[in-house]
Amino acid sequence: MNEGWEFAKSYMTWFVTNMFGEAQPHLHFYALSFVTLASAIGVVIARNLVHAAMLLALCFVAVAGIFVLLNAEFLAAVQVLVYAGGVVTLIIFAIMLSENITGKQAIVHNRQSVTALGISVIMAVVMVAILLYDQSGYFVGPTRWALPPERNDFPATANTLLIGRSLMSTYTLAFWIASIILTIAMIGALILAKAEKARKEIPSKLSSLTSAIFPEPEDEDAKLTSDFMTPADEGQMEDTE
Amino acid sequence: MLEALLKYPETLAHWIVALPFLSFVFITLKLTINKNVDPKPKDESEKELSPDLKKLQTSVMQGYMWPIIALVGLLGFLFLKSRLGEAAGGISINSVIMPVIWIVLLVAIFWPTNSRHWIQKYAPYISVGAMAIGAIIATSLWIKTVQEGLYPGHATPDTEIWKEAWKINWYGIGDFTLPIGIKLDGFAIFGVWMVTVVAMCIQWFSIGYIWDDDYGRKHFGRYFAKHSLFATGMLMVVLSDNILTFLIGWEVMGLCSYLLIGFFTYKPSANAAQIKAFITTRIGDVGFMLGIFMLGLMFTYANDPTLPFSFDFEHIKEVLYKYDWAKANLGWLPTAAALLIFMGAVGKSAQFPLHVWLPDAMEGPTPVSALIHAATMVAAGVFLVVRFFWLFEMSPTAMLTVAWIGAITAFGAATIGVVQYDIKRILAYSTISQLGYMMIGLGVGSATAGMFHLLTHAYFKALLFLGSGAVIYGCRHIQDIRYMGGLSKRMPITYWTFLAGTLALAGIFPFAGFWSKDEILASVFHMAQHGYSRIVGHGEHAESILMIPAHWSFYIIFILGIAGAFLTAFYMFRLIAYTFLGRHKNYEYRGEQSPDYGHHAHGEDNTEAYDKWTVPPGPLEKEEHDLGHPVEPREVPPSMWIPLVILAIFATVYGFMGTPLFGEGGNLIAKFLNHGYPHYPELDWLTAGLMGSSLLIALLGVHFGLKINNTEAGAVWKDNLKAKYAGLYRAVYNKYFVDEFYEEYIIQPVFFVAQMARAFDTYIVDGIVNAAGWLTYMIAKLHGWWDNVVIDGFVNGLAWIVGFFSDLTKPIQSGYVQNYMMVIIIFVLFYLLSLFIR
Amino acid sequence: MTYQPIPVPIHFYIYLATLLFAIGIFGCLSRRNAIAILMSLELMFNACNIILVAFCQRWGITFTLQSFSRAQDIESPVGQIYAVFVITIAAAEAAVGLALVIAAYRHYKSINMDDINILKW
Repeated sequence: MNEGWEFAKSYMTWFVTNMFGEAQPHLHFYALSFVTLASAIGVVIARNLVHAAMLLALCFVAVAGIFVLLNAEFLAAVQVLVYAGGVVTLIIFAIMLSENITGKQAIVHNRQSVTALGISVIMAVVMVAILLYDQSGYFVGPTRWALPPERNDFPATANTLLIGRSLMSTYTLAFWIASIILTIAMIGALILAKAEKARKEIPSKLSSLTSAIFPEPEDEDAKLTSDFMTPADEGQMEDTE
Repeated sequence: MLEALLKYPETLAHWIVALPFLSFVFITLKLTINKNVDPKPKDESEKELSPDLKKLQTSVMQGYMWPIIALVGLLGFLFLKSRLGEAAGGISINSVIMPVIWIVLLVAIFWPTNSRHWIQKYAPYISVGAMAIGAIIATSLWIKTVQEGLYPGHATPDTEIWKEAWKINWYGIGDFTLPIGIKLDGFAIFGVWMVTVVAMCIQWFSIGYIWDDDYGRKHFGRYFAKHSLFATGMLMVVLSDNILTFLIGWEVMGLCSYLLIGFFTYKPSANAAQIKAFITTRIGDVGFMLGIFMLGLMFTYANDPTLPFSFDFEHIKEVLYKYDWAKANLGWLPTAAALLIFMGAVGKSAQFPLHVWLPDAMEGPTPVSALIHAATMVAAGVFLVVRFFWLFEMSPTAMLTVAWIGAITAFGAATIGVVQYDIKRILAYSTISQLGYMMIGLGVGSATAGMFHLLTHAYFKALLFLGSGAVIYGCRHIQDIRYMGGLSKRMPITYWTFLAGTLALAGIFPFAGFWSKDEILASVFHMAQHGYSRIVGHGEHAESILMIPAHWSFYIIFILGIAGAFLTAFYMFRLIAYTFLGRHKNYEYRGEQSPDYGHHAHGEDNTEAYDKWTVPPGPLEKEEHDLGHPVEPREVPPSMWIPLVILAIFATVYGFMGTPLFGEGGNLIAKFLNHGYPHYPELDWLTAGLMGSSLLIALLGVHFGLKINNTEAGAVWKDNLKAKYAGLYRAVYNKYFVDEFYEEYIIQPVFFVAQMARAFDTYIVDGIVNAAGWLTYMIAKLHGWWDNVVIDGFVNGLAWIVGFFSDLTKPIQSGYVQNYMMVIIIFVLFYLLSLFIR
Repeated sequence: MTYQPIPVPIHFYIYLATLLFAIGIFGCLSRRNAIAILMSLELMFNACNIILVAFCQRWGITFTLQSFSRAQDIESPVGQIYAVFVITIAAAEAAVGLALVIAAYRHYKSINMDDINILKW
C-alpha cells in the first residue's frame, strides 16, 4: 500500500514534471513540432496568400520555441524579431503591393505538383535513411547520434555572451562581410523596387549633386573678360561680339 | 626658409627647370583634355597654305617632333628622380617633387572643368608664376654665389664645390653608364638668373599683348604652354652638365621656336617663316650632331680604357686634354669637331651663312621675338660655344673662324639694319649684329666677354623688343616706323624704357651694353697685340701656352667692330627719331592703302599691298571705323609697362657687374665668369683709352642718327646719299640678296633633285609595287574561290548539322523556373541515393 | 525513485528538420505564386537552422581548430553562429527576392510563375 502510494506519488511527480516541467522537454518538443509542421503544410497549401503568410509567422514562432528548447535563447529572439517580425511583414507588404489576393486563388499549384509531392516525399525518406544508415549501408539507427556525455558541455546560460564574444573575435571577418552583404542587399532591393522612371532619374540626380559642388563656367565667349583689360578695351570687345 | 634651402643649391636648381616644365605639362594636359570651344577663326578658308607647305608642316610635326616631346617628358621625370644616397643633400628630392608632379598631373586630369575657358584664362598665372618662382630661386642662388664666392674663377678641383652638384644615372648598358646632372658653375648661375628674369618679364608682358589680339585671345593657353616649354629648354641647356641633356634642351628650343613663330597659324607668311626657321637651324644642328659624333671618334683615338666615353663636359675635356693630338698628327680632329659644333651655334645664333631665318622669325608675336632674341634661342648658340670653349681652344683655326664669322655678321647685319623700316626687323638685325659681337669675343679667346655681352644683351634686347611690342600695341599693329613718330609724348613710359635699352645697345656710358661691348673690343685689341695664350695646369704648375700669335688681321676685326658700334648707335637712334620723336605721321598714311605698308616673310621687296592678314580683323577696325580716323596711340597698361621698367633697370645697371672701376674684387663678371682672356684686370690707360674711343664712336653714331633722321637738312642729305649710292642702297636694302642667292642656288637645285627622286619613285618604284600588287590580287582571287566554295561549304554543313540536333533537344528548356528547379532536385536526389550504392 | 531528465534525442530534431525541408521543397516546386515560393524558401532555411542549432547543442562548443602550424582549442557556439549568418542571408534574400517580385510584377502585371516563361530557347 505504502509502496503503492510511494509509487503513485513518484509517478505523479514524474507525470507532472514531464507534462509541464522544464526538466522534461519531450512534450514541448512534440507540441512545437506539430505546430511547426502543420503550419508549414498550411503555408504550402493555403489558397489565400495572406493566410499563408500568417501561418508562416506561426511556423517561425514555433521554430523559435524549438530554439529555446535547444538552449539558444539569442537565436530564438532573433528568429522572432527578424523572421516573424521583419520578413513576414515584408512578405505581407509584397503581397499587398503585387496583387489583390485577399480572395482565394483558383489554382494555387502548377502542373508538376503531383511529381513535386512524390519527389519531396522521396527526399524526406532518403534524408532520414541517410541519417539511419551508415556509409556501408548497415542500419545503425538513431544511436549513430548518441554522444559521449563529456562532450555535452553546452552551457545553459550566457548563450548571448558567448555568441557576442565569438562574433567579435573569431568571426569578425564574417560579421563584416555579412554587414556589407546586408547593405548591398538593401541598396539592390531599393533600386530594384523603384519604379523604372525613378530609376532613370538616379544618375541625373547624382550629376546635379556634383555640379552643385563644382560649378561649370558658362560656355559664352563674352564671359571671358580679363583683369588686364582697360575699360576701353572691354567696351571694344563687347562691341565686336 | 629660402636660407635653409640654399644650403642645397642643386635641389633648388632643378626646381628652376621643373617648374616651367610642369606648367607646360599642366596647361597642355588641360587643353588636351578639355573640350575645345572655338577651334578656328572663321574666315580661315580663304588663305590656305599651299598643299606642299602644308604637307611639309604636317610631316615635320608628326614625324619629328612628338618623339622629342616624349623624350623631354621622360627626361623631365628623370631630372626629378631622386639620386640615391645623401649626395642630393638633406632634402630628399623624391619626397618633395614626386608628390608635386602627381598633384599637378592629377589636378590637370581631374579638375572638373568641361571647357577650355578656365585654362585659357588662368594659363598665364601658372606659367608666369612658375617663372617668377624660378627667378626668385635663381636670384637667391646668385646672391649666395656672390656673397660666398663659391665659384672661383679658374676652376681648381678642390675649390669647385658645386661641380658635382646633382647627378643621377640615366641608364647603363654593361659598363657604359650615362650620368646626367646639373652643372652650377658661374656661367650657369648667371645664365639661369638672366633666363628666368627675362622670360618672366616677357611672359608677363605677353599677357596684355596676346590678349589684345583676337586670335591670341582664343589661343591663350597654347601660347603660354609653349612659352613655358621654351624656357624649360633654355634652362636645360644652361644647367646641363652633359651633351645629351644639352642637346635635348637645344632641340626643344628648336621645336618651340617653330611653334611660336607660327603662332598665328592663319598667316601664310608665319607658316613659311616657321618652316624656314626650323629647317635653317636644323642645317646647323646636323653639324652639331656630327661634331658630337666626332668627339666619340676622338675618344676611340685616345683609346684610354680607364676613361670610357661619357657625355659629361668635364669628362670629355679631361680625356681630350690628356692626349697629344699634334704629336699623333691628328691635329685636324679637334679642329673638325670644333667647327662642326660651331655649325650648330651658327644655325641657332643666326650667324652669317645661316642668319636668314631670324628676320623672318618676326612673323611671330612680338613677345615671342623678344624671347627668341634675348633669353633663349639665339643665346643658346653662344652658350654652346661657351660650354665647348675648351674644345675651341684646342684649335686656333676654329677660334679664328669663330672670330671672323662673328666679325662679318656683326658688321653686315649692322649695315642692313641701317636701311630697314620695320621696327621689329631693325631690332632683328641688331640682334644678329650683337650676336656677331659675342662670337668675336669668343673667337678671340674671351669667353668672359662673350658671355658678359650675352647677359647684358639679353636684358636690353628683351627690353627693346618688348618696347617695340608696346609701340605696336599702342599704334594698333602698325610696324612700319615711317607711320609712327611723336610717340614720346603719347607713350612716355615706353619711351623712357626704350631709350634706356637703346642707350645700352648703342654702348653709351654707363649703360649695360657699353661695358660688355667695350670688353669685347678690348679683347680683340689684346689679341691683335699679344695673341692668345691659354693657361694649362693649376697653381704652381700653371704655364701659359701661346695658341694664336698676334696678327695684323685682328686689327681688321677690331675696325669692323668699331664700325659696327658706330652703325649700331646710328640705326638705333634713327629708330628713336622715326618712332618717338618728331610728329605723329599715322594720320597721313592710314586710310588709303599705302604701297609701302606691311612686309613679307621671304625677304622680297617691301613694296607690296597692304596685307590684311598682318592685322586680324578685330576691335581695332571697328573702333577706327566708328571714329572715322585712326586711333590715337596710347600708353600700355601697367601689366605691360612694369616688365619694361624691370628690364630697364637691369639694362641700366647690369653693366656694373663687369666694370673695372671698383677694382679686382668688385668685378663680379671677372670673378665668376673668368675663362680665357682675363676680364679687365685693372683700369689701365689702354683700357681707359679704348673705353673712351668707343664711347666717342658711339656718341658720333647717336649724333648722326639724330641729325640725319630728325632734321630737315638731314633728310635732304639722306636723299642725296640714297640717290648717289643707289646700287649699294639697293643691295643693302635687300639684305645683300642672300635670300635670293639661297633660293636660286640651293633651294631650286634641291627641289630639282627632289622632283627627280619623286619621278623615280612614281614611275619605277611604284610600278614594281603595283605589279606585285596585281600578282597578289590574282592569287587572292584563286584563293577566294577555294575559300567560298570548299571551306565555306564545309563550315556551313557543320552548322546545319548542329542546328538539326539542337532542334531536336531544345524543347527540354521549358522556360519554367520551377521545372528547372525540379530537375536540380531530382539530380540531388540521385546523388543522395548514390551514397547507398557501395 | 529520482527523476533524471532525458533530453530530446537529436534524431527527433533531424526528423523534424527533414520534414520541414521536404515541405519547403514541395512548396518551391509546386506553388504558382512567386511570393509563396519565397515563403517556402524561408521554410527550408528554418530547417537548416534547426539542424545547426541542434548539433551545436549536442556537440558542444569546444572544438579544435587546425591552423597551418598549430592546433588551438576554440570555445565558440559554431552552430548558432552559423544560424545567425543564415538568418542574415535569409533576410537579405527575402528583401532582394521580394523586390524582384515587385519588379517582375510591374513588368509582367503578374507574379504567376507559369506566366513568366521566357527563359527558354
